[in-house]
Amino acid sequence: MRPDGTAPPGDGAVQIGFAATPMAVRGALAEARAAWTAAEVAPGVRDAAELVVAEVLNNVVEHAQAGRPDGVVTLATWPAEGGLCCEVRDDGRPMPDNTLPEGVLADITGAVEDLPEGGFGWFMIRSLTRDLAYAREGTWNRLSFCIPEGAGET
Amino acid sequence: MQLKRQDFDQATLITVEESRIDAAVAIQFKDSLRDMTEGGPARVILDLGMVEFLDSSGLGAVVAAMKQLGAERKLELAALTPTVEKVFRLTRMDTVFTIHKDAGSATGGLAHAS
Repeated sequence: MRPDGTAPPGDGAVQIGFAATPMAVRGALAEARAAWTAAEVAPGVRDAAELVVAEVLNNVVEHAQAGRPDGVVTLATWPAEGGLCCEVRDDGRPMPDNTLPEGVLADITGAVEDLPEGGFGWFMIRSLTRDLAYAREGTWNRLSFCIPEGAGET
Repeated sequence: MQLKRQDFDQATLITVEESRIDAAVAIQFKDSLRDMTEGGPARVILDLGMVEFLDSSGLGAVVAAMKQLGAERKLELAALTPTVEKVFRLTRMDTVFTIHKDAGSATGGLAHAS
């Protein structure tokens, strides 16, 4: 069940709730991955989904839920036409300005000492998803997106 | 965080004996790598052949590891698995690192340090 009591649609759906910690994120990813394999989600979609969901959940743990040991996160995924759709909800702080980061890749053509060590997460999320949407609903954040087949193939 | 070090005459080979470099271990990975490469030869080769998953925290840790080696030394990568290779390609960090097919081709011709 999601926080509003509804279940995600369709066969092969995944619904997991967990604490906002890095190790709980690992556990949720392993559980989701096993369910995607069982639901015969295409390997390329699985790999892209694991990466995107990991990035989204890391952001929830590090920002929305930072310093809130009792925070709750839920992950729902369901196979959809040509890919996999996902929804992450958490009861932490809202996105700054209720807006998703742009995810622009920093300049990497300069000296090694000037290379960025962060900012890759939202770039990868935006590169690998479509229909990325964020909403603040009461005290919850809801982020939804789909991973299309062929995500990240160039 | 399991890392294995092998010393060659002109290079240090570090094998990551973990399947994931993610947010749960990224800082530990960076710190362990710094401890294991302190004061060694100019080339440090990181064998990622066992790593099946690397997220942006892991990527940031690899970049940080290269920066903490300093200007006179270089971090090279070897044996990227397909999912890890994809992260480097997507973020264009594959243009920043020298990437070897495997650890053998990275250390080919180098003698083990006595």
